Amino acid sequence: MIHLSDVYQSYATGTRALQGINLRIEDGEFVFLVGPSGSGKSTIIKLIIAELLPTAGRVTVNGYNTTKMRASEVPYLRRTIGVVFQDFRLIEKKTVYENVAFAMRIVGASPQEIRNRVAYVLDLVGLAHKARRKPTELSGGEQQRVSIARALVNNPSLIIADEPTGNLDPDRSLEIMMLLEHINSLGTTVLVVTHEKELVNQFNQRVVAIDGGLIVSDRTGGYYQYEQYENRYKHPGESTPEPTEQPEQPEQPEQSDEQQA
Amino acid sequence: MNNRHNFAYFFREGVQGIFTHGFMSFASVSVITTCLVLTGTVVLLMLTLTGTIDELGSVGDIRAYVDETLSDENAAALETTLRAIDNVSGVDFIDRARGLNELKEQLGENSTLLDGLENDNPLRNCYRVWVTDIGDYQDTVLAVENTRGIAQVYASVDAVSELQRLRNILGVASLTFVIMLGMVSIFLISNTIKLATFDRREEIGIMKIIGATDGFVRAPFFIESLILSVTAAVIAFVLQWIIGDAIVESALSSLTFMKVASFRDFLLPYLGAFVGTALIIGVLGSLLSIRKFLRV
Repeated sequence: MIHLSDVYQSYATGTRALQGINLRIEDGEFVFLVGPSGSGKSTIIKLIIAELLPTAGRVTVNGYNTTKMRASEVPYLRRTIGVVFQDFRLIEKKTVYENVAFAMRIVGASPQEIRNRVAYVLDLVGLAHKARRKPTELSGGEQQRVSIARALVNNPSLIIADEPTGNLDPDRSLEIMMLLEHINSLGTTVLVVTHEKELVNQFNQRVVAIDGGLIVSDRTGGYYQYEQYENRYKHPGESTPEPTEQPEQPEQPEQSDEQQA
Repeated sequence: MNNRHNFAYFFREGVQGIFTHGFMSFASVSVITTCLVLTGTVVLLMLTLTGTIDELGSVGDIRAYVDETLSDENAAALETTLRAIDNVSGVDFIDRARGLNELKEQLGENSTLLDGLENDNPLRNCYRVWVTDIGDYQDTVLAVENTRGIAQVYASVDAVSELQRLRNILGVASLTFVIMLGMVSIFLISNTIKLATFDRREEIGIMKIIGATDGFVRAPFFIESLILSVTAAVIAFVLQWIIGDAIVESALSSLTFMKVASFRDFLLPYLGAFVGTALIIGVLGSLLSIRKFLRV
């Protein structure tokens, strides 16, 4: 569970990234956090993974109050979260298997546990056959799947995907998003940060829109459907878009071994 | 955290790191080795010079003349008292007959001047006293003077204090040189390791974001530094042995008045000092260099 309560965030440069954010994401939810560049999305991610402490307000994630926790507790909070990055952040010198296993070594898992679990998550993301490849030998979409496998491998209760499709073509983007939705269907809370309107509109999920450090919309289904937001934030000369139809649920990938993820 | 499982991983990562960062590893070992050999050579030279000065200091041994009112037996018995004085390393009793013979030897052709004195020897019984540390020469001379039964003492106090001053200057100069070399070593090593760590900053960032503790991140670096440091210390030790034998001894042995310090006399202290210093410099340098990359 994520709970941001009256959160303000200012940087040393004077930039006020967040100006009183209240956001609650319950266990098992799938949430898109959307907004233009510089709106404060990345700042929220950094606050959730305790890379930043709020200037004011309170951030509670999976039972950890980041404003009150000791620095030595931060790694333990992060182990309850799986993070997926736009640039994948894989270690190039390690194989796909080692990149994923590496996350389990951090928590002190036994070799047997690592072998079993890594095989399972690589199968879940459809990369079991490429376990011995190096990341540089994979396509962007496959690298992002490895990143998702690494995020999943310790069975976190929350997955945060920060612009996970930013470096992918539309087809691969849809695949990744469907994979995240599938992971959510297995019980994991998923927070996806993105600014890809078309992609978000294909999923009937909760969408939290942020701009100028404020939450300007929070509703289920669609990205730019909130009238007030559209009127306030539309660009000069841009016509108000037609309300987006409720998207059809994308086809789910083949589900296997649902009991573990 | 299960340390048993992780130790094998840390060790494997540490060894892999050495080969992955081949040039940096080579640079680290080279820098540590060079600094250790330079420092070791300076110390060896310092030992040679101070040893030589101490040797020169023994020329100014103390001559203590025994009161002529004491019988020869009582005069000989003073040896125990003199040996008991602090800083006395050796005592040689020169009775009047031996004193006369030594005087004749010194006079050489002119020794006939002393003919006939054997039956009426005018010399006093005498002790030659050597000191351990010329630094305490004056105090030792005073103690010998104050010994009951000693009538007169001759000692090269001025010459010895000059030698002592020279030794002190050399000692301070050598220490300064060693400290400067140590500082240069730490600077070079910390920069070398910083470069190696900088190369891995992204990896460290990823480890931290996915929940690695600082200890987990540091461990492979620690093991890598440990291996590199010990390797550098062993190489430095072998090089120092070669230098000590081939250069110092052969070059300085031609200067016969010098008391050359042999590296072979200090094998264990050198090995201990090299390994200890390399570990401190290498491991501390590594752990300190990585610190700023842990702030994620």
